[in-house]
Amino acid sequence: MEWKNIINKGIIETDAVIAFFVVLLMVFLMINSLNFAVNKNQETKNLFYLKTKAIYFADSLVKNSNQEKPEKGIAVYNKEKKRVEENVIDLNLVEKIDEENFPELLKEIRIEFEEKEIRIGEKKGNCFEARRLVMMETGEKGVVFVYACN
Amino acid sequence: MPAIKEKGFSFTLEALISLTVLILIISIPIEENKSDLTKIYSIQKENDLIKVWIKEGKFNEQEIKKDFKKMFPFQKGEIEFEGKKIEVKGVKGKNIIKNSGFYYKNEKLNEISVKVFI
Repeated sequence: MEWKNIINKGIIETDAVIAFFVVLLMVFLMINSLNFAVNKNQETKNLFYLKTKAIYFADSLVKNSNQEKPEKGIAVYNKEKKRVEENVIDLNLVEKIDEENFPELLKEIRIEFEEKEIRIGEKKGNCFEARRLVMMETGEKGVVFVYACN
Repeated sequence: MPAIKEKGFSFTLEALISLTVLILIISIPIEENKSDLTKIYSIQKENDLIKVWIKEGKFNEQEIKKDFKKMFPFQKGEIEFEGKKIEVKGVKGKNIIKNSGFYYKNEKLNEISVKVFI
């Protein structure tokens, strides 16, 4: 190629430059949309994980009776019938709950009944709340709130 | 602006087809995680309501409404028992989740059902 031609015409043709930028833009748009979709999916997954934890903790709490690890179940155990009374809360077990033994992501358990409130732990950050209607041993109705937080 | 040269950047038909297919594949939206716990969570809460009301045995209309609101603060609901129908005002969602339980009263088997519009 002669120098004159290079100076007059340039090294890269205009249509090639246009096509190059069009392809570049398309690649950018594709990567951007892919990145957005992946991030969105990750957020949904995180929220789903939190929800799962809170809902399952709450379910375990009101359906099981665990004397050694009351964080896993605070329902009343009926010795006469030899069975756990689901949704009936044993306040002695509630007193034994230790925040230190909370499973991963479980940050707070709150029990509201009549005018009273029992709170164990403290919720922080992004949390999901699961609530369950229960009865106390004494016959009062109450609500158990369970918070799973990131 | 200089005129576009005849000899330019061009694709063959095969290249165009393959590029179009590639773009179409990449453009397919990634499926969101649609696993939803709303249904199972609502069923659990409905079960709680039924269990507690049956254990309590009062079936007081005002208390039933109050308890329902505690569990479903924003949703519309319907509770049916002993021929009565209690409506709780709220947002009427497209999906209906219904649950029922049975209890004895005056030596008669009764049914109580809770319906939530999610």
